Amino acid sequence: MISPILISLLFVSADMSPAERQVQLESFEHVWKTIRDKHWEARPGGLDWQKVHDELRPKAEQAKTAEEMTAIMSDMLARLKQSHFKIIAASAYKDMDIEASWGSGDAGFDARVLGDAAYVVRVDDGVPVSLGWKIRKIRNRDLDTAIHAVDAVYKGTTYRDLRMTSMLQSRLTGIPGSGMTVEFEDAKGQVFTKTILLKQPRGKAAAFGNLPPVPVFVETKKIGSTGYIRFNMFLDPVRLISTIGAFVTGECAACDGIVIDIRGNPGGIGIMATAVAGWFIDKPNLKLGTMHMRDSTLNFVVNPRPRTFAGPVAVLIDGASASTSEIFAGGMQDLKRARLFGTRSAAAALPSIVEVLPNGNGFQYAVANYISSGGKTLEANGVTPDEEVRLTPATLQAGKDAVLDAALSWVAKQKGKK
Amino acid sequence: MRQLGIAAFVCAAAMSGQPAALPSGASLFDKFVTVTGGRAAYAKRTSEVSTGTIQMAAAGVSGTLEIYSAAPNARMAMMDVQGIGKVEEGTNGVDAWEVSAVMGPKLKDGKEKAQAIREAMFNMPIYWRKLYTKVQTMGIETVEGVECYRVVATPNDGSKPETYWFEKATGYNLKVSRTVLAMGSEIPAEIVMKDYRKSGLVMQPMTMIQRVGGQEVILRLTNVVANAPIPKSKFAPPPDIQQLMKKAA
Repeated sequence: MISPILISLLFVSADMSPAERQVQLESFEHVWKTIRDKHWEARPGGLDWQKVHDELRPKAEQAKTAEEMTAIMSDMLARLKQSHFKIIAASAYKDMDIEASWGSGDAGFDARVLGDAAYVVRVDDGVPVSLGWKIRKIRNRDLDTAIHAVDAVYKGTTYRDLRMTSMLQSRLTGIPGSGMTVEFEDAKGQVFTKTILLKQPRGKAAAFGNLPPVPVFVETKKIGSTGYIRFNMFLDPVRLISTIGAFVTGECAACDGIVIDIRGNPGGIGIMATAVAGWFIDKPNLKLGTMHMRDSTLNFVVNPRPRTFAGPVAVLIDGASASTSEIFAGGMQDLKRARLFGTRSAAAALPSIVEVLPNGNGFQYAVANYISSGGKTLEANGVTPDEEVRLTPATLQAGKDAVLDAALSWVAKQKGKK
Repeated sequence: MRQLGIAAFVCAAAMSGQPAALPSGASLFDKFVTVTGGRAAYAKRTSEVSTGTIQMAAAGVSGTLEIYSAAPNARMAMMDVQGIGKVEEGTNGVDAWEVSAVMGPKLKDGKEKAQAIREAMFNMPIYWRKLYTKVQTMGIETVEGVECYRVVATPNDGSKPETYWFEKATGYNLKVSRTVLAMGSEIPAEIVMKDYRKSGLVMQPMTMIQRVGGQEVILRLTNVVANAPIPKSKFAPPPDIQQLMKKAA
């Protein structure tokens, strides 16, 4: 008797038929040619791209399984040593009925790796977890091992925080309604296990083109007389942009300032950075930066809204703020329209698109380099905050979000300067 | 008189300094008018409503398209694209604007405004002499497997030259290469035109493939109605644009 699990294992490991091999080779060639023709550098990543083809094509022809082929294509892209080049597993596209397929139940708290351990850094109301608790195990799996694995590849790079956060997010999720055991350690060193009920994903499913659908939420509230806006991705533009606009020109029009929290926001649709900026910039023809393609450039010009918020703006960033988040934060900083708080961003800011390959896998590739209006290439450099503020276990355990507090304090001082 | 003068200059320019075997640029522009229906057919058109689809196949993005045009130079193009919402580009011949669910409202100015109004010229093919100071046939090239005459046209407003490819056998315009002004940028663009059919009194390409910034956008017209009544309000600046106009005044 063969169990369904074994059948599926056999299936994914089975040798490819001649027809499947042909589809895989077509995918290989498509990926290689796309980089050759559309990368913004004539020598992509400074490499002899033909040589890369000539080396990998024989390996592709010898590949026995789809997984081997995917690994070869991923190897090709990894040689560029640039963000936004990757193969997305076909399984991410299966069952686009997002409610059924997410498996991304919301734990109700966020975590970050601070130093060499993971800590709770934000908690929803009603979730039985406290700020600053150390996370030791998730579903009985030791987190140290995963942290070391990420460090083995990314330690010392600007991508470390982004990869660590991504690793944590992928573990702190599951089927909505199910329980997830997490072993915590509190400030006194006491170790205990809690079962966290995974809620329905926060927000609404949003898809864009060939990107797999993801839940997108936007939160607006007033903290005293300062407005606070947080959203997890630059997607679902109609809802997100109008929600932000309604808040900053309505309920919060008379606020002392606005704090925009894009910590942990990995980006989304690039041009949305200018759309959000349009609620805070009232002069026409200002740009956040410029996208440089092989044969042309495109300015990320901000269209000021008829009504804009004129008060102080603080933007919160961290090492997991990437891509469009960096375009937004870097541009607002260069235009001197916002003061940035937190830690350096991920330095992964290349405009890209996602295609579906003949073999069903997704293929994300960058088509341009991006330079902020201040003249800085965001890829590999990131955005440096005006005020570096780090979360620490001690401040978290005291119930404080030091980054948010610094921003609120700055906004309050601006009022005094008026 | 001035028009005649420009036309004479264009003809003279087109006639001079090119191999005898090549037809003049002026004759190719005129032939295009003839093969797509003739001057009289164009003159009967005073407005047009087109509907269709827009597709950015590589990125998996698609949407719908409606274009309203009226003489002399009013135009409103409305797109509704999956994932990014509605985008409207319009001009009433005096002002030009864009309103996008993502980008917000933009009142065009300078060269961008001039280009938008210029492109909205209704029945543009019969007015090419008003648009270009010089049209010159440069040679024969193959476009999408079809032999074409390549004609470089110099705009009279000082903008960058545009290149047209007219099919040798039929006279149809199969491709245009030009510079698009958008977002404070000058972006090289190519538009390949296919599937000419009689629609709205004249022959028009029902498929246009725009190649911009390494990406391909396909516009397919599914319905074209000539002289459909279009209320003037269709070309009026929307409220957000009116607010920006007040602010700018």
